Amino acid sequence: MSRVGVFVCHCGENIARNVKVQEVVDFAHQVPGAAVTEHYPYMCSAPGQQMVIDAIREHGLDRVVIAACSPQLHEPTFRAAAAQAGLNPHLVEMANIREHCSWVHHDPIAASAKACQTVVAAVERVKRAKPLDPIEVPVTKRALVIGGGVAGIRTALDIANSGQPVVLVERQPSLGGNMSRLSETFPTLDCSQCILTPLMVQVSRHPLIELMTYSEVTEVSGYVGNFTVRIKKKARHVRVEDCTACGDCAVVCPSPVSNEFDMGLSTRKAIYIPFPQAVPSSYTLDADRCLNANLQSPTGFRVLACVKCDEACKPKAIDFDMQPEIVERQVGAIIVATGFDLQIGQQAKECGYGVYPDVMDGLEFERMLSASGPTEGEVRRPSDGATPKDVVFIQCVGSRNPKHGVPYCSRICCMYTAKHALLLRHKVPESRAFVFYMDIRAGGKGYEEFVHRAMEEERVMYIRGRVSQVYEEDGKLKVLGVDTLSGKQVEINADMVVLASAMEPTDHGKIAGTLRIAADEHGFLKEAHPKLRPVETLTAGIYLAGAAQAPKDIPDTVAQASAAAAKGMELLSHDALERDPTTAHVNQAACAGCFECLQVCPYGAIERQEVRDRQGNLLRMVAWSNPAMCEGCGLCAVTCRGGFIDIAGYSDDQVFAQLGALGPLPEVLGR
Amino acid sequence: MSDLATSAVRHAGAAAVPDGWQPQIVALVCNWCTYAGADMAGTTRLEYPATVRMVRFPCTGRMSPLMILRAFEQGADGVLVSGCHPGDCHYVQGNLVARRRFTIFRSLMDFLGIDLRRLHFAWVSAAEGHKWARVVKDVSAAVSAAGPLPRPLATDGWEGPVLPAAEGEGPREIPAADSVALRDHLRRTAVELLESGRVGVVIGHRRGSLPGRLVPVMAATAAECRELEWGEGAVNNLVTYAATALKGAEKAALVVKACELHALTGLIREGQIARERLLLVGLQCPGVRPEGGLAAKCLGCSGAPHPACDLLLTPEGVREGGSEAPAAANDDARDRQIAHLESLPADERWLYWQRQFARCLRCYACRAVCPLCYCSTCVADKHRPQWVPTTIDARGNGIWNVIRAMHLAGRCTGCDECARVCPADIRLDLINRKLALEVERQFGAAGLDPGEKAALVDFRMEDPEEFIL
Amino acid sequence: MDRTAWVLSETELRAWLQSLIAGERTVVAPVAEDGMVVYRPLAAAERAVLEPRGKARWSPKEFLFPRTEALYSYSFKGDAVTITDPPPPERPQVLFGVRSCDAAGLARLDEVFLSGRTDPLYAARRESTTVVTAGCAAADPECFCTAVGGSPLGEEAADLQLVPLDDGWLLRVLTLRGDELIGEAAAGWSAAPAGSGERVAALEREVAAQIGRNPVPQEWARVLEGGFASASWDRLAAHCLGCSICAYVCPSCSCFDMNHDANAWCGEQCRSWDACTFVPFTLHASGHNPRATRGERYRQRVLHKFAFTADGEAHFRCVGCGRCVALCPAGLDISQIVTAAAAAIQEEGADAAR
Repeated sequence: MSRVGVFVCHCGENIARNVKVQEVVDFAHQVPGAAVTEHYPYMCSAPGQQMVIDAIREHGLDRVVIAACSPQLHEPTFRAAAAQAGLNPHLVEMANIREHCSWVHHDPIAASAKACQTVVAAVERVKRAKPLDPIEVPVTKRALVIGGGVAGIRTALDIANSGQPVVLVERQPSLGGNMSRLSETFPTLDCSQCILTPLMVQVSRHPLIELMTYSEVTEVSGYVGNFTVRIKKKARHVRVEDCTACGDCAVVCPSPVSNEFDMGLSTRKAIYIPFPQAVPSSYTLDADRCLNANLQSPTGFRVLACVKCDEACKPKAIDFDMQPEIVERQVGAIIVATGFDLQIGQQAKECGYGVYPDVMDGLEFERMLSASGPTEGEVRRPSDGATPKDVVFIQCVGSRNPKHGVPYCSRICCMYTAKHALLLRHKVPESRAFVFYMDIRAGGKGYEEFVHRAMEEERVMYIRGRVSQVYEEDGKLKVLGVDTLSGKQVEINADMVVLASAMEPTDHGKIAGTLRIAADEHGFLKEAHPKLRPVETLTAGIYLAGAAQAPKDIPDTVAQASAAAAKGMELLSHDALERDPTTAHVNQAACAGCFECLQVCPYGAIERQEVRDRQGNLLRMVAWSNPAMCEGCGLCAVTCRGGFIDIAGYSDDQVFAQLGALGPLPEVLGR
Repeated sequence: MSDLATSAVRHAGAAAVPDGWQPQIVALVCNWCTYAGADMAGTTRLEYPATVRMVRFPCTGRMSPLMILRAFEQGADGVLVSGCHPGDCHYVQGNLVARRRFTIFRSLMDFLGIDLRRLHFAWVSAAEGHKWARVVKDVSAAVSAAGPLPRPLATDGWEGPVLPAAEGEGPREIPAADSVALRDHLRRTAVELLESGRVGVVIGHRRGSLPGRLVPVMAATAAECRELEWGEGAVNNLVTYAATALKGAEKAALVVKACELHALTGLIREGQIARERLLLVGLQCPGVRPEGGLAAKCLGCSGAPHPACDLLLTPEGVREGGSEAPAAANDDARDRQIAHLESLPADERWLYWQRQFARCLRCYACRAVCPLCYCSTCVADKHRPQWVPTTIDARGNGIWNVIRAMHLAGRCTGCDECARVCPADIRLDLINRKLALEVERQFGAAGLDPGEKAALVDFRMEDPEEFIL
Repeated sequence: MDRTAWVLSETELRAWLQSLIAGERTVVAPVAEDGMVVYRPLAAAERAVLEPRGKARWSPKEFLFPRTEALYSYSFKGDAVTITDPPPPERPQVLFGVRSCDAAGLARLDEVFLSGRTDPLYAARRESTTVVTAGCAAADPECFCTAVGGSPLGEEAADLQLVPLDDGWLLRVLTLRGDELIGEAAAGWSAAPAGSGERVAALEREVAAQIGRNPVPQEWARVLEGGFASASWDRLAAHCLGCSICAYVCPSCSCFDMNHDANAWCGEQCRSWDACTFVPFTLHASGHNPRATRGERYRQRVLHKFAFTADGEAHFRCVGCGRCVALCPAGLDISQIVTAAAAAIQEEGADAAR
């Protein structure tokens, strides 16, 4: 029979004003198993805790109930006190007779009766509690960063600089992401590549960073501290260590391809380097666009129709036979920094995108502004190459549009539109820039001033209103909109239209499925808590950085990347992790192998295990809950019809006993 | 409602409500949202009735219908279940899976005549201290209006509602000569399958000891195959025997009626049977007559063998099946009976079901005969803790019948074997059908594709929740 | 002992029944409920179903051996425990209209609960129970009482016996207790004419002839028990599904399980019906189950009904009511299985001898 110590707190007047403490103490004394019943003005005080410690030692208590405030406040306090007395901390239960009782019920009779019942329920519950020890999980001291844009680069550098190895996986042939496409960045007008490429080089040179470009994460298994990651290294067909990036191959390559780095505004060759400062500094053969793609002789041998690049290559770096490679890495922490794309939605099409070549989106205009872009930094109309004079910029194309786009604000467009207008005015002094806007969101440091500069110094014309139509007439793009501040319709004959389209997460957040983390309905990866845990996910060991989590600009991206790195470093700083032991346990002898538990588990903590006889014959499959991944939600336990799964700390026995103590008091029950 | 019913209801709860009686309400709350919300109500010093006793859980996903039943069984007048708003669950989706569970449980309680003023569900977040106070006030008022929990009562002499007759054409009659031909096809096919080694056992029917009754047989020899029978007495759902037969043979031929085939979907989906180990033999069925009259489930059926069977036997002969196309859906003759019960006041439904549950013997024949009840030990036999009381009385029987129905919700495919075998004539078929209809209505058509998730293991953000406060 | 017999019309029978209901005893009789016939305490004489043939869905044993009863209750207060015995039966009772097979079942229960150690709860009820049987004028397809030494007009455990006539009932007084039940009500009844005994015997033969099953010889008890290790049990019970309908509707099954039904404050030690057909019936705490297979469990059932007898008992425990045959979900027929098992065991024995 358990020896339970029941300690009732007065909490000064907080409890004692409405709950008759002595009555609760006397009542608790009647409960079978209550060996000690005490009360004290402030149980959480040092003498109060000492009372508990002393009672455990003197009376050989093996369970403790503290009837006081909410466990959300002081459960750790009393657990620690019990531990000090040598009692397992999970054998302590708190009965909330303050927040749920004395503070909300002012009739002392009713409040005391409720307090009595709450206490006896806690006693019954704690009698069935079992000692639990934290689960120790070893930590592999290596981080995986998925995505080699500015977020991934910053995270990788921070972690590597702290002395922990990092694997950085980027699926494009080069690091850089969307930031490497930009011309200049707001509000400083820093040259984007100039500030980014030194970081890219640092990554490539860092002894602790294993850089895998042109690679993708295909499979992630395991759990915090112990992830196994499979990475597919695509076949580049060029040996990076031999390539000198001389470019002779591209000169002779006969196969032109739309240049995705330039957002389709130029062509590249099948063998190409995305941009001159690419890291690694190597050409890549786009195997799908090479003339040798899918060529086979009638007998099934691979045939090479064109070897011009190989002939031109002096270092002989080209290898047509290169195969993709799957590698496996063990890591302890994963940071997801997969970035964003610009959406081409209905609203963009209504503004003429895809219809008129002179209507483009923000990234396309960036490429045009970029000195290394398709027009070497000159602003030219794609249709005829002429320099545009009147350029219309339309904000909120797709964003803030629940019906025909996305409901959220893409956050960066007001700023980059101001920047685009300003840069246009710098490059084409005789040009006129018109911006149709709904609001101007310029909350960052120096942002408001930057927008003012565009308005005041560069005389960019800001029109508050929406655009209803864009169509071509007489070689010009007619933009029909409204100016809500004057109430008038506006018609502009534009030479070019630039759309600030909505930001959406890369591949609509498909990476979430691979990692088994949550994403919202737009594909943005879900943070554990929007205010207090913005870089963690609900899956232990996986963190977020950058636009993959939500639209944001470069300063916030870099800040978040460092925050994610800090979280990763925190995890990797431990040799082993202690996880909460209130996890699920499967009775494998009884499990029927229906695996509905596996289907409901939010964390993928349930695994299939084989049961074999001594001869090695497979008898059946049963479920197993991995205590390192299990978060103790209990979904599996209720889903299991036979009741073969239980949750330590919230066991069926405990709940059953607690419910059995909450009926009306015996004399009313009439047994 | 008859006079006896009125007076019985009036007397339920053992006469008058004592002076100053306050309801006892047990609240099952999740730690991260509602518990914290109740803390917030305390910190804000809001005032609300002292009727609620809190039980803390990690998540609404940890809350089982058995716990709600235990609360009532221990004398609670009302139960309140509360957790995080959908989308905010600390464990991502616990409340979303639970929401479907609660929806079906609540509709079952209503169907059984439980006064829904006693059972409430709410989403209260950690920030909603005011909402918590308001919910407790509203729930207390509702439970007070319902009064003290009624005791189970005797229904002697009460006539009970008259359910509308189950109507339908039923399958076409099979003339005697055709019946013989069909039986001969079956015997020949069975012998051939066995002797060719295609299967190691044929699960079918043979003559029983009572007139007209056929009983199951797992025929492992040609001689036994030559004794196979078919007809109106072939009542047993042989799918229940598939797993046992497959312990002794690599592959089994299974004689299966169209109404039974879908039980296999659940077994395949839940990993209990590999489809490739069964050779399904479907026969033209005259409809079964367990007690003389055509079974209710047959009334809407054409009797044609299900096209997904591997072999289809009709009086004309044997042909290959194996089509992916589902069979035509039957109108269920019991739906009118269910609708009639639903039109009655809850009190009358309560009497209707209480009388039947009081008769329940806890023979567990319903469980034994159900193809989807395959747990090595049933939750009813679990002693630590004893969720389902072992007492064979209205209280224990009620809890058993509720959890049986809940465990089959979204899985039962209406073979009605449970109702056929029940020695106490409990209308288990109505309960099962009601929940099947409810699952379909609330969450979409029952998945007959083993690759799809079962309804109560799945969830959508937009699942209905009008009943949740 | 002086035995008397009366002839009653239907009206007289119902009147007498109504007077019993109005008296100090609870009268239990077959009544119609939701399309079936079950034994229930009677509120009005006209509700009793007293037909020349047909059985209630299950036996009336629950009125002596309830499905669930508290053996004792207890409550806690600190270290003190208060234990309370269950109250004695409130009123004496009459089981009216019981079939002979059901009465024979009561006799079997008496052997279990009243010999050796007396079960006080059962004994208290049995002491205050009077049994009025109603013989059968026709057999149902599943009946086989005569095959196991019983009779449609058997007298075991009966205090009074009603025999259906074309135009009323013959009421035979078999015990003193039966006589006490009649008391003064017989004034106005006609005495049974001479030759009534022969009429009863003739009816008995007529009904017995309808029962189409061969008698189970008494020596088969030894044969079956000797075949404990026979391979035939698995085969014969292959399609048993492991419910307990047979045990629970059986007039002579008496097994029960005990469980505590308790909460923080109080509880009861209850016994409830249990059956050897359930897997956990013989499950040990270690996890070992001596009757792990279906065949072993069905063998247990057969042997308990047809073989395991205490010294001095010269009859089977099975009373041949046939309910298990009619209600078994898988159509198992215990009398056929007994015949087949005995044959198989004897053949196995012959094989072994060769």
